[in-house]
Amino acid sequence: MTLAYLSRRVGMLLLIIFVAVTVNFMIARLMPGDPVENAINRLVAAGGGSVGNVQEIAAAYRAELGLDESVWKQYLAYWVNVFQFDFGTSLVHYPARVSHIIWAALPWTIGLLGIATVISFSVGILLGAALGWPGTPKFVKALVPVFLLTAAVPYFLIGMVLIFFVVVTYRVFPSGGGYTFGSELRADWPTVQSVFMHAVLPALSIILSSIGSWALGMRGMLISTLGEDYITLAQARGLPKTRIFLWYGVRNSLLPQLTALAILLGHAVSGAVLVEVIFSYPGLGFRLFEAINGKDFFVVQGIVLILAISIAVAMFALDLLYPLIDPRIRYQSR
Amino acid sequence: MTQPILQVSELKVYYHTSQGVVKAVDGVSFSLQKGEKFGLVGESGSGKTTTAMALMRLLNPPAFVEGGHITLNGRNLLALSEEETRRARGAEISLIPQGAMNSLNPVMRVRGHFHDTIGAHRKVSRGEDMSTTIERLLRKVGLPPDVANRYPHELSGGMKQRVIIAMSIALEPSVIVADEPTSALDVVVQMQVMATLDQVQKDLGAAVILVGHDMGLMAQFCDRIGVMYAGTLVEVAPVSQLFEDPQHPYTQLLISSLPDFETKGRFRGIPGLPPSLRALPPGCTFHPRCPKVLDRCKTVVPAYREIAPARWVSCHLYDGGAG
Repeated sequence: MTLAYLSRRVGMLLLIIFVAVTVNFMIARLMPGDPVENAINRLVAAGGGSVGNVQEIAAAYRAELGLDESVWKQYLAYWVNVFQFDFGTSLVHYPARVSHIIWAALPWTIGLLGIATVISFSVGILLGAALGWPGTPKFVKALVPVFLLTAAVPYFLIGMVLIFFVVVTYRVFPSGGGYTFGSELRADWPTVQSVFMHAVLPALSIILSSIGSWALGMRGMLISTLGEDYITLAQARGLPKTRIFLWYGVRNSLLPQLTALAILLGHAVSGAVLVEVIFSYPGLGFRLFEAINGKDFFVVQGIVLILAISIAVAMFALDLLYPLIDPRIRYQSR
Repeated sequence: MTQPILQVSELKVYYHTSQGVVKAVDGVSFSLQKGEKFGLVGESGSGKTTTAMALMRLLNPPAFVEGGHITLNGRNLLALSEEETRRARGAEISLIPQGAMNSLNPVMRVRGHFHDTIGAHRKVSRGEDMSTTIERLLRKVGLPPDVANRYPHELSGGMKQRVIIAMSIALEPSVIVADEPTSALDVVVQMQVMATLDQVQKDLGAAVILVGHDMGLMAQFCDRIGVMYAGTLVEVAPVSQLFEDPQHPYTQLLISSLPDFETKGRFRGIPGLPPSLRALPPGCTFHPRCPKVLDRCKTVVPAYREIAPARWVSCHLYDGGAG
């Protein structure tokens, strides 16, 4: 790996993060409506208090949140805060810090999405490779239409179907939440069990809906790889079938799939919003949904920024790893 | 005459398509002596490559061998089990394919390709012996030993084709099938590659089947040439006799359509088009385009016969000395 390549990639990463932070800052300020007034109005409506001094209270809030400063000062302050991982205070859950909300939600999302994505990727790729190989038995190939169907059904629909059949009808798994409601999170066996049981259905709905696309993508890629000249020559050289399948076929078909996986793992941080909402799963997706509903724009900003940075970092990691798995791509600065 | 090393008799390969049966190879017979260089020429779609692929038993559906025998070193290739076929490929009969640019696994070093080829047929030690073998093979085709550590994309087209030639001789097969090995290369590299092939063929004593349509290249390389038309061999002759005294009207037209300076600026081809392999004309398949067509050519399929020593023709002109 050349230093020039590395510094170029790091530079690119920093540039992406800079643009993400800036755009993130601007979009929130360009949104119509005043979030502080909205929040207070909502509080007032809920509490039934007087309406007269909303402006005053809002001004006080703005001063505390730094929203009365000039845009440039706010922008600079925003950068300072980003470096301190401080995204301000939630407006809906005042005075909870946004960073706390994010930190609390992040492990749930990474756990759920990470595991579900890795499972659906590995199983999907294996099945897809099997489906693309001419020697695979007919009954396995019957999976193709099944996958065509599941790949077309959105994951939240599968989630709802699962809730209906598994939760409502048979009561095997809990319907929502990250762990048993009201219990404390401890490092003991019942907690682990409860966390696992709560994760099964959301994970299953993600796996069921995405496994088909992985399998079909891999199948298509493998079929076109098997048409390459190097496969014909490998056969003519007398190589055993399994060697050709794994090291000539699958090995070459895997490369584009890994790119897709890296992008998806970057996205995983934002959670599968709808799945988390359906299962009331305490992950980032659920928080994002909640924050958008409540115009809690500090939280939205924080989550979107985390998402942008994690995708950028995932792509950065991929750029560093890719030359190791595909020798045609080299660590070149030009 | 000694026992031929490869004997092909009445080979038939049909493609079963939804629009009907395509008779790509329809009764081809020829034989090869040890160390002989045999050329298969013909227009695109005349069945040359299909014949070559049938020899490697690399036909994929919808192509099927419908009949005939391929005898290699006394064994009928078409009767071998899948595992026996695999063992024969590369070790007894090897292939130098058309697409040199894309015939090596892009994620594998040249060394790995040799490991795979040799390891598929013999127990190999991963150590010194192997490196020496690879080095020796690369030197044989005129490549420096460090090529073993390169990836395919780091090699030029000519270098890749040399690597493939080196692999094709790694297990010292008795027959090498070279299917238009230089079609993707420029003339200079083409000549270098052909010289390499010629050299390793001499060293090894293997028989070579060279498939192609470059008559000049064929004339230079081959001992004997077989001319294919619409899935059949119309004429087989030693190379000098074929060029000096072609017998079959198709061969005559083919050779007279080669460009030369005396007829510069005038392009002579063969009038008409090759027939559809789905609906071959009755009788001789060449009769609609043949300038010397006889009445019986339109109904009776001409026999493939030896009209003079080592000269085989299928044409009614030579029926019982009548032509």
